[in-house]
Amino acid sequence: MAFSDARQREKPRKRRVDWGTVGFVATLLTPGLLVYCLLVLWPMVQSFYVALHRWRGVSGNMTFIGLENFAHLPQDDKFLPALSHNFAFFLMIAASVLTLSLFFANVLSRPKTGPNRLFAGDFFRALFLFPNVVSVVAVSILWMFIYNPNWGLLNKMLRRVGLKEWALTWLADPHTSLPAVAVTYVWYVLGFYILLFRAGIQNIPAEVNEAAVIDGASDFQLFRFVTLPLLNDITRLAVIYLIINSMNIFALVWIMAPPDSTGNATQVMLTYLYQEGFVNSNFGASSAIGATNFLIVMTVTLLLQRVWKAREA
Amino acid sequence: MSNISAHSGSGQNSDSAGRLLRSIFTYVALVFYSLGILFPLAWLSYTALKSTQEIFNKDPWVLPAAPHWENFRNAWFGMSGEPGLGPYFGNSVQITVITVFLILALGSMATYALTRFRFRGADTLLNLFISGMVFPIFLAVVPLFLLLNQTRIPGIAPRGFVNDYRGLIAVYVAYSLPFTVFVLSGFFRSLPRELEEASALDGASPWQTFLRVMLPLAKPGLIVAGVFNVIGIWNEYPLALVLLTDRSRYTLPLGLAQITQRQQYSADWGALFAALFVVMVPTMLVYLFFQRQISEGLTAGAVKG
Repeated sequence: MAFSDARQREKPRKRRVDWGTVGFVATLLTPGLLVYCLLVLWPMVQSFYVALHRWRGVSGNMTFIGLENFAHLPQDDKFLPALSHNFAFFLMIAASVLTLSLFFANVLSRPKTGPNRLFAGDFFRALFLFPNVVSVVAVSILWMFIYNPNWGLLNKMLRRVGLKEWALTWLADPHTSLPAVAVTYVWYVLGFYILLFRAGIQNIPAEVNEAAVIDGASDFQLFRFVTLPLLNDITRLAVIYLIINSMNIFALVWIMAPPDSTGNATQVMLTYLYQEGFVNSNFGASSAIGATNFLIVMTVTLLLQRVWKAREA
Repeated sequence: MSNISAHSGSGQNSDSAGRLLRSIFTYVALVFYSLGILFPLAWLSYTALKSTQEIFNKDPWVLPAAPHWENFRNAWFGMSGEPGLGPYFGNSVQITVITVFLILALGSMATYALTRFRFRGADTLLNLFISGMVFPIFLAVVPLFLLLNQTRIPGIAPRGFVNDYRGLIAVYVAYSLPFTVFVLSGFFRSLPRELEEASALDGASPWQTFLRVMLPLAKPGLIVAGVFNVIGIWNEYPLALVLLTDRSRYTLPLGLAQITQRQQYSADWGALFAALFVVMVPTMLVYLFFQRQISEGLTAGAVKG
């Protein structure tokens, strides 16, 4: 191994192995690398191996069954509904998050001075990002309180304005439970997407906007025909995040509307994985759900990258 | 949207009218969204001082008639035979402090080795670390549980590492390394090379150079990584859910979820609001003090990931 100190890079001919430096670098690197390989990389690889086995119970035996765990999934009465709930969740959050975050990012990108300035922009930016740092458990419980059928904020308000029949049992009703969780999710993450799009808008050179304005573009035209196309990469990134996060939704659902309380209307892939693995101790099947989820996300993401790039060209 | 059509009309008057309309619309939207965040938080705060009867019978926007401070006592010490948040709070503080210290130590060591020394494989290893940012945790959850459960070391961990904070902390450190290495690598890379040379010429050992010269200079990066990890570990839910099954070992998020589920049946709602308030205060404080670092870190992590 050609091991050398950083400053010797300029004179590669004089490279020699300095064992003191080798030892120092190895000492620095080993603890982190060891922990990372053992607890991150190894379990990732192993999950595909476990998925090929029938394995029930912590002390049970592992029996190799090939792809049977995967072949079983489409016939399973919970798997496809769970997948479709993830998809419905994606449609709900993607539509609202993209519209709202583009709108607010555009507004919050307005300058601090000049005729088009925004009042208290820093305050709004800081406030909108705040829900993102709150614990997902606290967010879930806050919204469980808001949705509480008897004394929750939402139903108390609805009754007050005379919409008594609108005051539903939001989280227990199979028709409203998943949308109710989706609203909570949007509240929770919207600030992050605003931040993302705002960073993208800030990267657009000022001359581009000025040129469009000189050409007589209205503010809406500027947004639609200049800002939006230039945000293409960020939009693609946001859509990919939304796909990944919809497929990986777990904590909010598990705490606010566990599938057992909604007649499986809120059964999503990861709640199903958790039930199979840690309630039924069915480790092989649970790993197969995880691996399938991962493969779906990978495939969809790669396809999307392709299609998006092709459309652009 | 009337503001757009108004704007596309010609002439100064309709133009400024459109601008005004759009401006009003913008601020209404901003205020509406702000209230959507602030009002639930305010509601949570003053409802923490209400009695359960008040919560049921009075309008939610009415302030408590008299503050029920005992809600906080009940939330902290427990109520009607149920445990309170106090022990869970202690568990979370312990885990967060140790974990974040270890993440910063291991993370800065590894990053320093990979960014300041040239050797074959350094870039590959750096990318291997950073690629962990896109690995889904849930994929590893079953093997991770089995690994910790089955690793039994006589004298050290005769019953494995599930319900053992050493296990959870090691897992947290491992899963926090990708982001930490990613953030720190930017800072370490930006330091001038002359510093190490000067330090070596002054007779400092490599360790002294690392600890006394380079680490202090990477302090802004350590703060960003530290703040992020404090929030992340303090809030972490799914890994703790899987790796801690003994109720007395629960972290704050697990404890809060548990108390809420149990309390659904005995229902001292005022105390539950108080419990939720207690859980949210530390993150609010961290956010108030480190808002700039948090948005920097989020932007960097998002655009890279």
